[in-house]
Amino acid sequence: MRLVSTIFLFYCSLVAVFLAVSGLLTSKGAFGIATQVIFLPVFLYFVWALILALRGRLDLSLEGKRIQLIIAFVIFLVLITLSYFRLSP
Amino acid sequence: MKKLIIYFNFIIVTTMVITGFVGASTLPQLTAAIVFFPLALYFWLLVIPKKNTAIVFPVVVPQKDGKVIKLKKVKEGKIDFNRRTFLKLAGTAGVTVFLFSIFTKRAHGAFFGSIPGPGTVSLKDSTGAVIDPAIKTPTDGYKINQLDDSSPAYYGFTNKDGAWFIMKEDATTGDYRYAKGSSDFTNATTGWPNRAALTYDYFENVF
Repeated sequence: MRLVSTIFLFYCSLVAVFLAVSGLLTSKGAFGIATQVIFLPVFLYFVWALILALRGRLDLSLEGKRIQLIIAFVIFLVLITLSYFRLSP
Repeated sequence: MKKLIIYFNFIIVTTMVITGFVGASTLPQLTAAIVFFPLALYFWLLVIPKKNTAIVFPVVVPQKDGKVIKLKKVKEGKIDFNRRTFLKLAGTAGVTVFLFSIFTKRAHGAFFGSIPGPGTVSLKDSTGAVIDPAIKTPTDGYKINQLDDSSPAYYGFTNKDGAWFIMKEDATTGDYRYAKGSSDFTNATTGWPNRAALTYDYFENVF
């Protein structure tokens, strides 16, 4: 479970880095950059969590969170199904 | 401070992901929403409080002779502190999103129909063009005052300021012509009594 948690953290960190960097690189004008600043705490948090993980301390453990994961999976399925049917051909 | 950042990130990322799913109209957009979903899941797992399943036992107070004579209940304290904080923040975020959705331009249509914003009243015609209901046509405010039912027929209208116009109706040819004045509707030479001798013209030329 620790391995799964670590992979999960690394994936989220990667996405957060992509989100922050691509947002700052592609946004134009002061307003666009200011909007991207909102996502900066997400990026910084994952950097911090990543450093903790590299030191051997995980920020989030998936142990004992089976019910939450099941609920999240159900929400995910509902969202994906509804969105799929709304896609324009 | 850490909790504040976690809650902030939770709200931002969840809003972003749900908006991504709801607003996705193409497959790439849906894929992007799926890619970002684990971020929301991560903060969701951090924010959702664990259910406190610990059982509070009464404390046994031992006496000198070893017999238990009194049971004292342990102080429970504020065991659901995290849950309360979470509910407060979730409620605040919900209200904020609700207010934001009301005052964005796109939501105006749902709540206010064709009214573009507070303080402005406008209507749309069948083609969708905005029309002003308060616009004044040239003959607004005029009421009929005199009627000559001969041929041609004459209809005299005046408004509250004394301005007037006469509509001449020729039933045989189907012509409607107009003459107007700014005052003195009953003047013998320039008003209603001399209506047959007045100069009449098309509506657009008179008004």
